Amino acid sequence: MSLHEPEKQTSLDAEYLAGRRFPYQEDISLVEDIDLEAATPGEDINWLEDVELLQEEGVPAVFDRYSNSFLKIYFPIPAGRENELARKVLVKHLQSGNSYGIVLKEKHTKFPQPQLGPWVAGSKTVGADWKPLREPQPLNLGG
Amino acid sequence: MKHSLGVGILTRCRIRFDGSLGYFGCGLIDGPEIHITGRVGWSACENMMSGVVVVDHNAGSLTGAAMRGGDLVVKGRVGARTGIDQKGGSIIVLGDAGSMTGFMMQRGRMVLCGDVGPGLGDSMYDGTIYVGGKVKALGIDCVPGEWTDADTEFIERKFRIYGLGSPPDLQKFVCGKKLYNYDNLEPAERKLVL
Repeated sequence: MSLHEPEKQTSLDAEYLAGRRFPYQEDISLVEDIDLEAATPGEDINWLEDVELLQEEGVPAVFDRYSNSFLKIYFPIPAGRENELARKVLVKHLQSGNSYGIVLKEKHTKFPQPQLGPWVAGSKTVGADWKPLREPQPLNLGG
Repeated sequence: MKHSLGVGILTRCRIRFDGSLGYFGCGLIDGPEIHITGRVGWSACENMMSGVVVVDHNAGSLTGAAMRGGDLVVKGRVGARTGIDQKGGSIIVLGDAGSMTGFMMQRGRMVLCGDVGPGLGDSMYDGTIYVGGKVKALGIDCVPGEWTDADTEFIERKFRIYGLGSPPDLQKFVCGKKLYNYDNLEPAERKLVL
């Protein structure tokens, strides 16, 4: 049994979940060619319409709903392109498979679905043969 | 009538339902573009994450409940509490909407081209509601908003994409933000901000 107090993390940070920072958080050229309309259903940017540039701990950031975490953006953001670049960084993060929620899919998804989500055509299917990590144990209710 | 059809589809695809769906149709979807030629029952597109759903006729109560993203277009009427707890996305209704539409709405957009029942936007936290017809009564903390160029661009774009013709003259409603810290207040304090 551990005698140490468990680590407590109050911020929601994609870098903390992944244990590293990603190149597209620091280099605008890595997200410039992202096609937002192609990455989303329908004829406009669909769900990305609700994604806007926010701030986390004083740093520009975009919220990744698939891992419930903020992805900070460290490159200078040109005026007037705040939301566009926030959406591009997020889509790059999702398409790269780096979102922590996507990382967990391989092991924990319980029904078949594309591993990388609807943003990547031809993504492999995961969740088709899910099994519990441990077999459920019968309850011992005493008596 | 079959219930819970088209639920939990998490990939890009096109689906067409010839006819009507029962309860909870097309809930929890993330990616599909779905066309329903008939009607839908309660809670269609509940918790929808992304995608497009077009319903050619009427939809029941709780349409788009807790919706997170994507576009939901209903060409007929919708029942009570449409868009309850909506957290994103766009709900577009060409006909009338029932009572308590947009109840506790948190983000996203609703376009209601017909008349709307009492309690519109009651206790909403954020988001935008556009109404083309008469509003029976506004809910608590739902107030008229100031129209901007972004509103015009949004409305015209969605009507063009879905071939809905010319949009009607719309009124805009937003949150008055008097209840923004509602959960932090004691009952007696709540009265002071109303």
